[in-house]
This record gives sequence, structure tokens and C-alpha cells, in this order.
Amino acid sequence: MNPALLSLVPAFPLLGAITIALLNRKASRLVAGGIATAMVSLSAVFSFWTLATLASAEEGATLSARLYEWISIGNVHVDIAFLADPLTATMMCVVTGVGALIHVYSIGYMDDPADAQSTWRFFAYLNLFIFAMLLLIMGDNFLLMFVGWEGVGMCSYLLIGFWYKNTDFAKAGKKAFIANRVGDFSFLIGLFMLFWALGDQATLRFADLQQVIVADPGLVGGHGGALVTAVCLLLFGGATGKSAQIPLFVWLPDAMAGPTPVSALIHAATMVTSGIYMICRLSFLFALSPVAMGVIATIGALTAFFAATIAVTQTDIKKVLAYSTVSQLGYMFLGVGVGAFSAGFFHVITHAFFKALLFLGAGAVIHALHHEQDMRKMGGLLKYMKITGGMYMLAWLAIIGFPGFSGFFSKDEILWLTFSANPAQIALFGPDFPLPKILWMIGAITAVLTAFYMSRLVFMSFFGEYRGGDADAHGHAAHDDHGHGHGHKPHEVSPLMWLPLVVLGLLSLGGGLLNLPHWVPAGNMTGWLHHFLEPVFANAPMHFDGAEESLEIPIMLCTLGMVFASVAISWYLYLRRPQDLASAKEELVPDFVYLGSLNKWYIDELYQAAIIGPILVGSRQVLWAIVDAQLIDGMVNGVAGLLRRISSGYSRVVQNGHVQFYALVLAAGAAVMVLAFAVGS
Amino acid sequence: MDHLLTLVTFLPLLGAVPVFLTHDATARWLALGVSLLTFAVSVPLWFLYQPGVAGPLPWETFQLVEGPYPWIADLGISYTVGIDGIALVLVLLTTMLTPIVIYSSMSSVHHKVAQYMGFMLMLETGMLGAFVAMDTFLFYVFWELMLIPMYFIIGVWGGPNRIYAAVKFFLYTVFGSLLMLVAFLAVYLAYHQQFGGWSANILDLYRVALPLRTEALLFAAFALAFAIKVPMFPFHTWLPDAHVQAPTGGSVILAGVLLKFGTFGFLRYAMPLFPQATHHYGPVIAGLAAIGIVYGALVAMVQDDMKKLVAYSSVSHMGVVMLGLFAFNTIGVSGAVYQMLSHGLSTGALFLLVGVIYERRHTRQIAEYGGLATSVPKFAFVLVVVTFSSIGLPGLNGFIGEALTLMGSFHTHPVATVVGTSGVIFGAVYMLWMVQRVLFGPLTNQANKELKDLTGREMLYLAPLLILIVLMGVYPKPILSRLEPSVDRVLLKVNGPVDLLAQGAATDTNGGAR
Amino acid sequence: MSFDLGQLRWLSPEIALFAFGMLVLLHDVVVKRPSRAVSLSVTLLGLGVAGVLDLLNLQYLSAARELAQLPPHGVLLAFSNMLAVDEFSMFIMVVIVIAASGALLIGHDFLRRVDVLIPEYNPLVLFSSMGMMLLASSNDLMLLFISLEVMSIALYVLTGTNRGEPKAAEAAFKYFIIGAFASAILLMGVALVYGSVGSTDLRAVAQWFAIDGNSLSSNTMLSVGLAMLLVGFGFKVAAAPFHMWSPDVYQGASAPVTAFMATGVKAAGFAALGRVLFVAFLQSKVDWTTSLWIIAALTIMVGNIGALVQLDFKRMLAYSSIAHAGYLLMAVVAAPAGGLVNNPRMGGILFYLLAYTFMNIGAFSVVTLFTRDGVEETQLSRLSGLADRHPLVAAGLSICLLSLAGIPPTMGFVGKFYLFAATVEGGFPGLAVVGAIGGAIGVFYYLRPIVIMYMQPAEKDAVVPQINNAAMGALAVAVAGVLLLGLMPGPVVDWARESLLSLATWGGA
Repeated sequence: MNPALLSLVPAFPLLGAITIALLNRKASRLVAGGIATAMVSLSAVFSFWTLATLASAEEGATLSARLYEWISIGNVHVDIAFLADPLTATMMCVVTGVGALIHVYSIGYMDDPADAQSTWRFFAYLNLFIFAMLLLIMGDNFLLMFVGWEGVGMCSYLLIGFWYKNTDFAKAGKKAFIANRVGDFSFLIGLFMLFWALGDQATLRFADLQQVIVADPGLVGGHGGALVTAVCLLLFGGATGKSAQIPLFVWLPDAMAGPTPVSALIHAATMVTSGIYMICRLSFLFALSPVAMGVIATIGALTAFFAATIAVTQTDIKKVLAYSTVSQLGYMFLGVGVGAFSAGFFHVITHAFFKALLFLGAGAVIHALHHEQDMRKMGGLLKYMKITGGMYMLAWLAIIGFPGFSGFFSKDEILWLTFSANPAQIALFGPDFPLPKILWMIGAITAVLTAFYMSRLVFMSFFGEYRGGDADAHGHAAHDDHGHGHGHKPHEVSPLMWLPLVVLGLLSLGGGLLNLPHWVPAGNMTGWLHHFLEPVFANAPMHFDGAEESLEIPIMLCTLGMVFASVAISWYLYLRRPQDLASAKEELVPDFVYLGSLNKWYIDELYQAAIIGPILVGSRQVLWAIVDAQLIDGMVNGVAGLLRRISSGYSRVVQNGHVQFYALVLAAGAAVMVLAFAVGS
Repeated sequence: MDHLLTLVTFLPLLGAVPVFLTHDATARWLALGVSLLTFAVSVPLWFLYQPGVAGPLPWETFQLVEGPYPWIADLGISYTVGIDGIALVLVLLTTMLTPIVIYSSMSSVHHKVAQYMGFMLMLETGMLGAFVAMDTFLFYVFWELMLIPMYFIIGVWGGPNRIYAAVKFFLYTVFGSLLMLVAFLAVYLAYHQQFGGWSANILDLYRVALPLRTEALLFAAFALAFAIKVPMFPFHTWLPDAHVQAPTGGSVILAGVLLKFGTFGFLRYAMPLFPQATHHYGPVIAGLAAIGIVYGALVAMVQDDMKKLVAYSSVSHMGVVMLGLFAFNTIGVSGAVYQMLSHGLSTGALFLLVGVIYERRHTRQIAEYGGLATSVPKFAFVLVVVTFSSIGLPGLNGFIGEALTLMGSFHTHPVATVVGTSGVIFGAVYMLWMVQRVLFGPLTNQANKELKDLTGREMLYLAPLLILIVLMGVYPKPILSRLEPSVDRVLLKVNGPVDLLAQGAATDTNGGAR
Repeated sequence: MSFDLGQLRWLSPEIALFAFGMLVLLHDVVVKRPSRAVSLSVTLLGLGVAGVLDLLNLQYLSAARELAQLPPHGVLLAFSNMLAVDEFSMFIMVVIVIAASGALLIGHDFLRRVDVLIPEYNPLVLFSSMGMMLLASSNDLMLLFISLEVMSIALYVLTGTNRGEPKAAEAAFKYFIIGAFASAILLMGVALVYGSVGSTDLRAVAQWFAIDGNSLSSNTMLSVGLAMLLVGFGFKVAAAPFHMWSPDVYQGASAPVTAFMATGVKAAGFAALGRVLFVAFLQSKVDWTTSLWIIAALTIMVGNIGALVQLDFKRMLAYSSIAHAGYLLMAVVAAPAGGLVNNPRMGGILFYLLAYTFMNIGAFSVVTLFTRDGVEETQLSRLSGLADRHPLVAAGLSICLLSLAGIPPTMGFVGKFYLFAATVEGGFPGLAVVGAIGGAIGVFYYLRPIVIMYMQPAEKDAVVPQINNAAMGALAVAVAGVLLLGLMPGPVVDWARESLLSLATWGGA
């Protein structure tokens, strides 16, 4: 295809956003949604075309389109230009493909009469988001990527706060934006460092950057150099914000305040994975810093585990999914951290499929139950919502890694490559420290927890008896409550909503085909994605000792075993003998663990008390009240006041109107003068 | 048209005379007409100015130069005006903002309208003159000339505590500028001693070479005057008072243009005149700038009055500009100048918006509002866009300036830049918090329920700002390409004084008396 | 040199003033129910004539130098070296004429209101002006002392003219007592100078210094003499610490008289001070620089700080006039020992005296508007609401005040710029900084009347300003001068420079 067409991919959604904005209230839900969907679908078409072109082209081929020179000053020369290599193309397809499905779904979902006036805004934002996301992916230079990087942040801010009438939702939006900004801060500093490190070869274009650095790693301090480590860590800092990793993950769960399709699109499938995407894009850089890689892998693993522990006790269906997302993102970072870039990215894709499905399914449920999000008020939904329920099962099996499902392959590859990673490549605690094995351990345990809480979710909401439906227990979790639908049983959702579910279901089921492991006899289908992406990661050579290859199957099997066990346990606790649940909790789980998990380990409270509170108080009480008002202004007014006092004192005491005194002063003055002159001579 | 600059500069003053004398009703439209005419006349400058064309001196990029016409020949003081790329964009910013302000004031100013409008036009001449002046004495005259109208605008049409604010504003500036005057005289004398003859022409004074100790003293005097104007921490406390008390129009001009004279002064006078001292004090100023950025952001965060919040945000944003100027490299300085423009637009727009709801509700207390997005969606939309511009969201004008500035200064002052960047990044906090508290949440306050949304008139004067906010974000090149050569020349002078003196002495451009 | 009637031409301005003074006196005494209008016009005519004659002399000066076979800028003396004939004195005379006419104009209606209708008033102004002119041009300490007294005694009387006003009487008394005291010291100084140099001719003093080994430091009697001279002049120009009298006297005397005092006396006083220092004592400048530096700095600070809290317009202007004396002294300090030519900015002194006259007359013209049943109302608060009632008057006053504050584009700014330039170029940046700080403080109190006029509501028992043509005319002229000479100072600046340099040739060396 003609590279110039590349520019169309982001152009369509932007066009859509503008059109809808111009129509604004005149555009009904169907019109606005129609336009938005059409636009995204169009860019999806071109994305797949791009993918096809690249797949058929010889290795290492890329497409690029340059629109115009954006910034040109000093040695900063930045174009509005797009670059499509296999990595980009794949990501483009995921974003636009899943995006298109979610757009369709949204048309069905946003049918709340209360929003009729503002659905146009929703779809405009949604398109705008796709546009920003595509900039982030396709931008051929750091600044353009940063435009997208912040752009998606803005759209998520707007979409989370879509129901702005609810102050908490608006706050959640703000929280998300600010947490992201903290990451961006680190990202920017890293960018500056990198830029100036290159001296007169300074460039912001990824292609040139790769050339320059590969040609002379010494510029950034060489392999393992302090500079490159600093740069990578700072860039990763940006990723922790955008991709909700420790310590900046706190915003993502709150972000679920947004309409569910938003959660599916932005906070599961696309935006939150941009951190991983960024690291893949710069793999040639990160590969130079074992320490940074170690940090990434460790943070990833810890986040995965930490989030899972929280997910276990949440009762809000979306909250569970939110923490599950954080946890899965952790997996991805674990993957890229140990150097298994293609594996990590593979998980990005499969996760996009099944997590989007999980969210949309949850959305369907919430929609069917009129904004009921509490799983304790659900149950037995499979009976009422056959399609949704059925698809949900697929997604569930995918995420817990049931053999053959997409999640199984991606997660397994990450875990295996972690296990067999070369400690020297993630030398956080020195090359001899068995970090890989520890990380694998954490990963495996997390897999077990994942299986547990996901099964818990499924059993609580789709099996057993329907526990909701009575008017007084009706949920008020969501935005303004509009009193219809009390009492009567849940029902299947409209085709507009379940069709996308079906597509995603199939993808969750078959997504694994993209990258089948070597032990599956599939001819040239084996590891397709891996080979496709190879040229991208060619400059980031990572080695995994194949010595333990024989162990791969057994290890996988034992993980699998544990997973099934935990599924069984949760089946027992939540389906078979729910009455034992309480007592089991009493006996098995110490209170502080349960409460800690339930309250998200009090991280928000900690931040509030340790950082936000002090800053606010300090600014008001110290900076403003004391420094500004008392110190600086005090000094200024003080001097003024002093002068006035001198002045009034003078005109009272000295200018006292007594002529004798005046004469005296004159005489004294004269005397001094005379003396001065006499002495002077 | 070889007297275009003079025409642009004095047109407003000319118009001010009839405006002062007519009745309020006519004054409004007359003033608007004059300011629009001025803008129209100033537009050609953009096309007449050719970036990259330089004069005989290595650091000279002044174009459309008029004069030197001897003014006080005895002192070698002449009427000489001209613009480089930097002055060009600032002149256009001024001529564009003034009609907007005048138009917006039509509804907000109710007593002594004629005088208000007259002062506005007077002010415009003062600002334009100070930007185009190439003679230091001339610059000083215009610089002080700006004070008087602004003093009256704050003091007569301002809020309850206006007198304190007006006098504070006046005294702060005068104190700084009187010391600057003495320092200027010293440079002026040094020129005489080194080259004979007398000249106040900036291009001549650039040739003066002084020992570091002298430079340090004189630089300090200049820097104080300009730092007060910027305003840099800790000389900023006049600004919140002035802004809160000033009428909307005053605030817009104050934030939009007047503050720029601080940074412009550094760039045109303090830095090139005293290169060694500039580098010597560089770290100190960069440090203060960084502190100012964070300080302004933090204090802005805890304000309950919208205007005060925006005022402190100005302290923060202008800190960014200072940081960029003292990066001593093209990226930083160009970014700084670009940031001056962006700040002029976005902060100007912010003050206009605050003015809009103030006119309706007569309060600026954030607590008084909330949920406005429901009652006044248009207003909400504009406010959100401007907010994004002000917090430097990529794709809008604010980002270009901030990114370049910080990028440039990181090279020179890494630590200060890291601190500063944090401030810039967290600028998001106070702005978004304000937006959230004003626009979002339930519409509680009854008074806000039947609030009137932006009228066509208000849209009309906000539109140009919004357009530029977007345009400057997506296509900064035309402006940057006009800035770069001039910035490079200034830097040539700031960074390499020694060899330049030789060249300077070689080519003689003395505009003054012999 | 034998007495030659032709020399009288150099005295013609003084003679004219004297003649017209007598004329007016006669008219007021002889004519029944004399018309004030006539009397005023005749007086003004007298000043006009004096002014014209002065300018004619200026025209004739170069020709006269050739006649006397003198080089251009050569020294021209008359009446056996008593009288100095030079551009310097002629410039000062112009200032004095302006000051006197201004004072008379703003006083005309005012005096009727406060019912000061003594026939001697106008003649006294003329006689005093005559004294000032002589003072400005006397080349001999004896003549200098006499003309100083002529000027002063008339002023003592003028100060007390408002008999109904006890304050005025008190002021006159103080002025007289302290004045007499100062004069005595001055006379003593003259005596000591004569004692040590053997002549009262300033030129002779200069020549004495020209002799090797002769300097102030080598001659205690002479230095003490100079010290006493300085005290005397310091008193006249109200320089600290010899300024004590001025606030009380300025406030006590009726506004027009104060205006005359503030402008005319200052001009004449600085003329004399300048002539004595620059002509006679320039060569041993080192010996008086420091003390004068201190006096200048002290004067600036006392004046500006003292004014800060004043709520009476006249009293505020009194302190302001002290401060301005300080600014002028800065330039005097900056005079280069090697001859005035070496500091081309010295002319700023003359330029500033003119500027100061304009802006002060302007300010006082507004002060005179406020009277209530025969009593002056000089509290600043009386100005409230003026901007609404008489916008033009308010604008005029504002311009004069901004000029006093040294804000461009006014004459006051250009003048101040010159004084600062002179100070810096004379090598006293420190003093200039003191001046700058003083100036910054000054801005505060010059703004206060503007604040009251424009930014504060009119007070309840507002005094209706008595707008009258004479005063408004004076105000108009003052404002025009302040603005025009602020924007186009060129010619006057050159004239001032040349005039001051006409002293330079006396500098010997």
C-alpha cells in the first residue's frame, strides 16, 4: 500500500470527533455512534491493510508518511510523521479493531435517556481517544508520541469524568490525569537526558535514535552505563503512570467510574498498555541496561501479585476487573522486563481480547441490572443472559490460562521465559542473584490468585441463584438513579451489544494462534508473531538459556495444576458451599490480611496522609500564609511602615515648631560644618 | 511605508485624545475602532519582517528601523525604533489583545468609560513603544509611560482594595526602574569612555565591555527592575494584589503583555549588555526561576479566589520563561519567547473567562460555583480548552513553549530544570482542581442554575484566542522560524562577548552624537 | 575700569523691576480705590519688560564680548567686577521672571479671597525678584550679600502679609529670626574669605587658588569661611540640616508667596551657591566634596521621608522642595575639579531649576483654589472628587505631580535624568543610588494627591474649588511647559549647558 495512506489511519477518528463536535446536540446517539464507529472501522481497515503489507513485505520493511515539519528550532527537528513497522502495525490493528467493536457496543450501551443530550460528547471523546492513541503508536518521534501519550490521558480524563455531575467521578478523572502527569514528569526528564546525551547527534526520531545508539552505545554510557540506566528508569517511570504499575497504579481502579465501554477500551485494552508499547519501541535502549530491565521485571511481578491480592476480596465487579487489569499489566512488564519483548507484547494482544470482553460482559450485566455493580446482588445470570454469559465463560477460561485459550499461551510464554531468563540480563541485585526464579515464583502464585478471583467473580455473578432484583437493594453505585426496572428479572442485551461480545469471545478463544509455542506442531504458524516482530527487537538481543527447555512442559503443567486447584477451591467456596465461606475466612485468613486486601492495603490513605495532605497544608499554611503574606509582604510593608514611623516621628519630634530649637539645629549644623572644614585643613 | 512602526506605536495615543474627550457611548466604539485599526496596520509587520536578514553588526537583526532621529542630541539620545523577531511577535500579541480587551470591557466597565478606554489606548502605545524602542532612553520613557495608565486602570476601576494594589504596583516598578536608570547611566558613560561620543542606542551600548565586578553590579540593578516586572520569586507579591483588584481588562493586559516586559527586558537589555554577569548569575536566577515555578504552582493550588489562582499560576509560568532565557541555548530561549506568547494568550483568556462569570455572579470565589458545566456548557467547553492550553497539553500552544524551554534549560541547569519541570507538570493539579470545582459536580448553588451562557459577543472576542491556542500548538513553525535568527543573534552576544567586541568596533553604527 | 553708562544695560532688568515696582506702589497708594487688575497687569508688564531686556542682553552678549576684545565665553564684568555678565545669570533671570509671574498669577484671585489686599504686595514681589536677579549675577561677595538681603527682607514681609492668619505671622517671625541668623553666618563667612584672600571678588579667590600651594586645606580661615558661606546658602535653598524653617514657613505663608519662595529663592540661591563654588572654589573641590555629598544625601532623605506622612498640601510641597534641593546638590557635588567643561551634564542644574519652577507653580496654582470664607484649606483631603468636578484641573495637577516624581514624559523626568547623569558622570554613582532610592520614596507621596483626586469618593463638606482664569492660566502654562519641554527638551537643554559653561571659564586652571 502507498505509505502516504498511513496518515489516514489517525485522520479518520479525528475527522469523526470534529464532525460530531460540530453536530453536537443535533447528533442523536445513533448518528453520533454511527459516525464514530464508521470512522474507527475505516482506520481499522487501513490498519489491517498496513499489517498485511508489512507481513507480505520482506523482513525489516517499514512504512512511513510525513505530513509537515512541526517544530524546527536549534537542533530540535520534529515532523508530524508516522512510522509503521510490525510492532506499530500490530498495535494499530488491536487498537482500531477492538476499538471498533467497543464503539459498536457503546451505541447499544449508552441508551440511557438521561444521557441523550450528551452521548454526542461521549462518542466525540471516544474518537478523539482513538486518534490520540494512534498518534502515540504511530508517531515517528518522541514528541509526537508524547502528544499521543498526553492526549490519551486527556481523553481518559474527559471520559472518566463523563458523568461529571457526580463529584466522585469528576475527582476520579482528575486523579487519573494527575497520576499520569507524575509519570509524564519522569518521562520528560528521561527524554531530555537522552536528547542531550547524544550531543550533536541529538535526535528525537525513533529510527535515527536507534541508528545512533546502536552505532555507538558509548553515547549513552555503553551497555550497563549509569546514564542509560537513568534514562531507562525515568522512561519506565512514565510507563508506571500510564500503565498503572507500582507506585502509580492507584488511579486505575477509580477510573472505573467512567462508562464501562471506556473502561474496556481505555483502561483495559489500549491506553494502559502504551507503557509496554513504549518499552518495546525502545527495546534497543532498554536492552542496554540490565539494572533497568531488572527493575521493570521486578516492579511488574510485584504489581501483578499485589493487585491480585486486592482483587480477591473486591465485591464490585468492575473493581475486580480493574485490579485484574493492573495485575495482568504487571505480567506484561514482567515479560518485557526479562527481555521477552514479543512475549510481553503477545500478552498485550490477548489481554486486549479477553479483558475487553470481560469488561464489556460486565457492562452488559450492569446494563441489564440497571447499574448494579455489586456481585453480591447478582448470581445465576447465565440463565437470563445466555450469549453474554457464554462469552464470559470464554474470557474467563482465557484469563485463567485454560489450555488452548489465548491467555494460556501468552501467560505461559511469559512465565517460562521468566524462569529461563539469563540473570545477567536483569542484574538488579547482581548477575548471580537468582532473580528470574523468584520472579517466576511470584508470577506463578499470581496465576493461582488470578484463577481464584476470576472464578470467584464468575461463580458469584453467573452461577447459583439470582440474588438481586428487589427494589430496596437496588444499586446506587452509578450515576444519577432513574427509577425504572426495579424488581423484574435481568434480560439479554441488544444485538448491538452482544455481537461485539461474540467476536471478542472468538478472539479470546483463538488468539493463541497468533503465537503458538514451539512445542505445538503447527508448521510455519508456530511463533508467527514472534517472527513477525523479530526485526523490531533485532537490536535488543536477549538470551534465554535453553538448558532447562526440558523443564518447560513439567513447569507449565504444575502451574496448571495449581490453577485448577484454586478454581476448584473457589468453586467450593462460592458455589458448592457458600455457607462455609464465612467460617473458612475466619479460620484460614487472618483479619488484617482480609481487611488489608479489602481496603486495597490502604495505599490511597497512605498517599493522602504522606504526600497530598502535607503538600496542601504546607502550601496554605506555610508558603502562602507565612512566606508570602508575612515574610515577603511583611518585609515590604514593614519597610514602608518603618519609613512612615520615622517620618511621623521626625515631623513630631524634630519639626516641633519651636524656633529656638530650629536655631539650635542650624547653629549645630553650622558648627559641625565649620569643624569639618577646619579639621579638613 | 517606511514609518510603519511609528504609525503602529502612536496610532493608539492619537486615538486616545478624542476618546478622552468624547462621551462614554461614543468612546467605547471609537476606542474599539482605533485599536482595531492599529491591529490592522500592525499585521503587515508580520510579512515585512524577513527572518534571517541581519544588519552590519553580528548581533543585529533589527528591521524596519526608523531613525536615528536626534532627540536630545546633547545626550546622544535619538528616536530609533525597529523590531527583531522577538519584538515582532510581542508587538502583534499586544495589538491583538488590546481590541479584545476593549471589546470585552464594553460590558464590564460602567463608569468613566471614556477615561478607561483612553487609558487603555495610552497603555497600548506605551507597550508598543517599549517593544520597538532601540534607544535605551526611549525604552525607559515608554517603560514608565506604561505605568501611569495601568495605575489608573487598577486604582479607579479596580476592586475594593484597589488603591493599595495600584500604589503597590506603581512603587514596586518605580523602585526597580530608578536603580535601572542609574545603571543605564553607568553603561552610557562607559560607552563614552570607550568609544567617545554619546549614544543610548542599544546596538552601540552592546559594544561596551566592562570588568566582571562592574557588570555584576549593573546587571543586578537591571535584573532587579526586570525581575520585579516578571515577576520572579520573591518579588512577586505585587502581582496577586494587582490582579485581584484590577478590572478584567486590566488583568488581561497585565498578564498578557505587561509581565512580558520583565522577560523581554532580560533578553534585550540585561543579558546582552552584561554577558559575563549573566553567566555569572545564571545559576542563581535559574534557581529562583525554578523555585518560582513550584512555589507559584503550590500557592495557586490553595487559592479560593479564581483570579488569585490565575495570578499565582502566572508566577509559575513566567518562572518557566526565565528558566528558558537562562538556558543560553537556542532551544531554551526560543521556547521561552514562545512561552511568553502562549502565556499571554491562555492567561489572557483565563482572565476573560473569570471576568465573564464575575459579570454574572459578582463573585470570584470558587466555592460559590460548581456544576456550571450543566448550566453553561459553552463556557465550560472554552474554559476546559484554555485550561488544557495553560497546563501545556501537547497539541496546544502551551506545550511547545514549555517543552522547548525545559528541554533547553535541562542542558544548562539540570537540577533547576528538574525542579521546574515538576512544577510545570503539577501545574495540572491546581488548574484541573479549579475546573473540577467550578464546572463539575452537582449544580448546587441556586444562583448558578439560570446563569446565562456565553453570549455571541463573548464568543466573538474569545474566538481569536482559541484559534491561536490551537494553531500555535499544531503549527508553531512560522513563529519559531521568525524567532530563531534573532534569538541566535542575542545568544551570540550573550555567549561570546569577547570576539564580538572586535567585530563591533570594526563596524560602527553609532546612532548618537559625536 | 572707569564708570561707563553703557554698563547700565547689564542692569536693565533689575532697573526695570525696580522702576515698575515703584510705579505700582505709587498707583496703589495714590489712586483712589486702585484696581487690582491694573496693578497686576502693570506688575506683570514689569516682569515681562525685565525678561525681554534680559533676553536682549543675552543677544547682545557675544557682540559685547567682541567689543571688549574677549574670546567667546570670555569673562565680562561690569561695575568694577561687581557684576558678572554671562549666560548663567541671564538664564536664572528668565527662571525668576517665570517664577514671579506665576506666583502673581496664582495669587491674584486667592489674595482677594483671603482678603490680603495690601498695596505693597506686588511691588514687594518685584523688589524681591530684583534681589534674586542681582544675587544670580553678583561676582562679588559684598554685592552677593546685599542682594541676598534685598531678596530676603522683601520675602520676610511677604510671608507675613496675611495678617489675619496667625500662622502666617508666626511663619514670618521664624523665617526672619532664622534668616537673620543664617545671614549673619554668611556675612561672617564673607569676612573670613576676605580676611584670607584679601578680596571679595570671586575671581580673585579663584586666582588665589591658581597660585601653587594655595588650597583650602592649607588655609583654615578660608575653609571656615567657605563652610559659613555654605551654611548661608544651605539655609536659603533649604538643604538639610539648615532646612528646619521651611516646612513651617511654607505652610504658614499664603500659597502664592510659598510658591514664589519655593521657585524663585531656590533658583537664586542655587545660582549664588553655584557661582561661588564653581567660580571661586572649584579648584580645591576635593576639600568640600565630602561634606557636600553628605549634605546632599541627607537633604534627599530628609525631604522625601519627611514628606511621607504630610496631610497638608503646602507642607508636603515644602518637604518635596527640600528633596529637590537635594537632587540639585547631587549635581553640584558632581562638578569636576578640572573645570566644568569636563562634565557636560552640569547644565542639568539650570534645566532642573526651570523644570522645578514650572511644576511647582502648577501644583501651587491648584493649592490656591481651596479657600473657605477667607481661610486657606490646604489639607490634601480637600482634593477629593476634583477629578469628577474639574477633570482638566485634576489632570493638570496630576501631570505636575508626576513631573515632580520624575515620571516621563515630563520635564521633571528629563531634568532628573540630567542630574543623575551628571552625578554618575562626575563619578558619584553611590550618590545617584541614594537619589534613586529617595526618588522611589518620593513617588509615594506624589501619588497620594492623585489617589485622593481620582480614586477616593468626594468628602462630605467638600470645599468648592474657586476656579479663576489667572490661576488656570498659570496652570495651563505650567503643564504646557512641563510636557513640551519633557518631550522636546533639546533646545533648552543646550541653552542650559551653554549657560552653565559660561561659568566654566572662571574655573581657572
